[in-house]
Amino acid sequence: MLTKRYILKSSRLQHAYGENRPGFYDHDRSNLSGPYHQDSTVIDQISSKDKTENIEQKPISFNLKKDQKTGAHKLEV
Amino acid sequence: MKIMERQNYLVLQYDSNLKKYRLNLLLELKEVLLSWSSNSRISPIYQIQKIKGEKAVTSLPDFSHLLFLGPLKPILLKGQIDSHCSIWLTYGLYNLIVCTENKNTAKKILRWAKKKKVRYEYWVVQDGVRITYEQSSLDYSKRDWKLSLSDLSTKKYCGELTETIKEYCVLMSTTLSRANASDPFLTQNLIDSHYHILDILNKLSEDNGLLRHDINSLMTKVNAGLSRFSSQTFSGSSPITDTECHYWIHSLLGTGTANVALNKIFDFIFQKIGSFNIPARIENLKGNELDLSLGFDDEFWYTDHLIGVEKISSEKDEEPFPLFTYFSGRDGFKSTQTTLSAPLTTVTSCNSRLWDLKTLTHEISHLFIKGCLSVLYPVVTSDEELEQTRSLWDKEIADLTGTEQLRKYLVGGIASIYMADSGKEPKGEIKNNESLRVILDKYYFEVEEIMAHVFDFLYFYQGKPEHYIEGIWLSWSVIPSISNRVPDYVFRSLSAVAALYLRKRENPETLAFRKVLKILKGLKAKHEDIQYISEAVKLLEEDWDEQQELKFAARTVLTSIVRTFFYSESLSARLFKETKQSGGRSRKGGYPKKLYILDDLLIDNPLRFISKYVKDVEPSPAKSLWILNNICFNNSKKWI
Repeated sequence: MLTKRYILKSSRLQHAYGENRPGFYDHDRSNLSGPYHQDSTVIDQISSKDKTENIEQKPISFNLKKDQKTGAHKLEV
Repeated sequence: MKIMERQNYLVLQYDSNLKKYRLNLLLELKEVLLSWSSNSRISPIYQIQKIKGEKAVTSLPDFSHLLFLGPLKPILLKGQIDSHCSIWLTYGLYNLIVCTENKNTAKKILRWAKKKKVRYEYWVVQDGVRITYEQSSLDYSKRDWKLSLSDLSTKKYCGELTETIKEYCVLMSTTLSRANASDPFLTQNLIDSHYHILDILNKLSEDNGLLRHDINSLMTKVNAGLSRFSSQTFSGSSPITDTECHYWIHSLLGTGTANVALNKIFDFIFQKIGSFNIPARIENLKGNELDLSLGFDDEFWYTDHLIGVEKISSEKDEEPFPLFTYFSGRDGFKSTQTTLSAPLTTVTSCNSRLWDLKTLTHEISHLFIKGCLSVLYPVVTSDEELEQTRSLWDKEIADLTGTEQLRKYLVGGIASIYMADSGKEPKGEIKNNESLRVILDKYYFEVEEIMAHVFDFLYFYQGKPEHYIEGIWLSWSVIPSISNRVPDYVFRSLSAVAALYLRKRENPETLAFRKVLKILKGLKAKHEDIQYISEAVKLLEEDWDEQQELKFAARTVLTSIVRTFFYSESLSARLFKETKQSGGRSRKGGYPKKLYILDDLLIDNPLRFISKYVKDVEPSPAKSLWILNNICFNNSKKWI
């Protein structure tokens, strides 16, 4: 269903993230990555002095805002 | 011609004293197993009632002429048989067996088969012992693919890949040789797949960041899928006595009819939307046409962005890879970039909603999403890509391409999900690669899964929540020990249905919540024995709180990306066209078909056919065979 370009590109993605569904050639990952299955890693604990941190560079900022009138949420990046 | 529900077994054994094969028709498996030997083979077969009142045959005559014919649309045989013939329908590519005591009748059918180029084996059986046999001549004349495979086998690749490719060469040669003798439709698909694989292997020499292990993984999956496809589809091909199927209850004649049906369901989707190449259009989104800061009440979010975008130039003439399809007890419903599988159980239970072949659309949706995410989702192992992602926040909106804007929105959405799941306000900042890496790594699978659900819901279920929610929860109900996944399945259900409500004045989370709860409560009343549905209702009724609501709200960012950028209403419409249904122009009526009747009425659209006829809960092998026969032989695509 994918052309060669996206077979190769998605293979690269799979190489980075593994494969989550049980089967013959899979990495050892379980399909439990939803909100009820938290792991212990939290970004707050990661050193803010990471060598890639750059004061010149803007941080990735995000805000999922709730519309007070409708209650709907909208992401701002 | 009507399929009789009673299952019979055709059993082949080699008699080492006589040095001949024995063939038996038996009614009960227990009888067969009592006389089992190391070379015994078996297949379930179903008698076809030619006229009303015709009685079931309980054994083969003392002297019989047996013709194995196929692949052949059963109705085409009608003019060639007389009232003394008995006919059985099988799951194999020799899908019809005719038995007569009259030699002249047998010879007449044989002449017709030769004239029409129908593949056959002709056996004369006396007192259960095969005394003579002949088969149709096989055409191995086409040589292009043989040269290509021979050439490939001489190429040197790194390490273990050389041996994986040698295995592929032999496997593909066997498969094509057997396909060539039986089925032009499958042969052409296999040849197309082979040339795609050659192209992928040629890419190995280019610098594209791929490791040989990635290609080895890809080729190993190709070999695994192709091996099962070949064994299941072409077992029972001539000479029948020499080609055993490892799906043991079908070890005599294989499951070719079911395999071709599976391939035709995939091929339908492939033809309708595969070549549109959604990822190549996502990769070419122009920045000046996008403004993701607009509110959901703006028409921007409901514009068909996909249909107006060209593919990136290198993809203009590219055709997608036609997947290898097969049945697997272990893989169940599963897709990879090159293969698509359905559970073995579906072969004899696909009349049941619990084993509905429409679940294949979820697997196919995963492939589309994998393609789109290969454009948008940063690769966590590449520092360069993480830096590039962070730099998107340094640029002005006007300087970003559409694809970059979408990536920025996706990454921001994933970060919001992370915060909501951590019980915090869904806002914040990410200042370094490591933090970004942790979040991306944690959520890749869930992002792909939720997006696949939204895609499946919108494209293949026309955004009809009742059909969709019932379909996915019934298919989950047959998987053992997944209570711990129920909460995640609830989030996936909510995220899909939220696609309907993004533009409503009231918030989409509340509307989707109410809708999903209502449908699940209805299902709970209808299917009291399905534990997971009761658990889902309990979660939504008793354990749902503000934190869960926020987690769900964060995930609607993924819903909105699929709804607005991966979905096209006009593209999706191609999947629902059907000219063969009755009910006037609206085509809301059913097909003019009767259950179990083998007719000549064509169907255009296997997905609609499945939706119309898969209504039961209890599995029925005879009904399943009728469904598979229709998809395999009554497809409006040309077939013998």
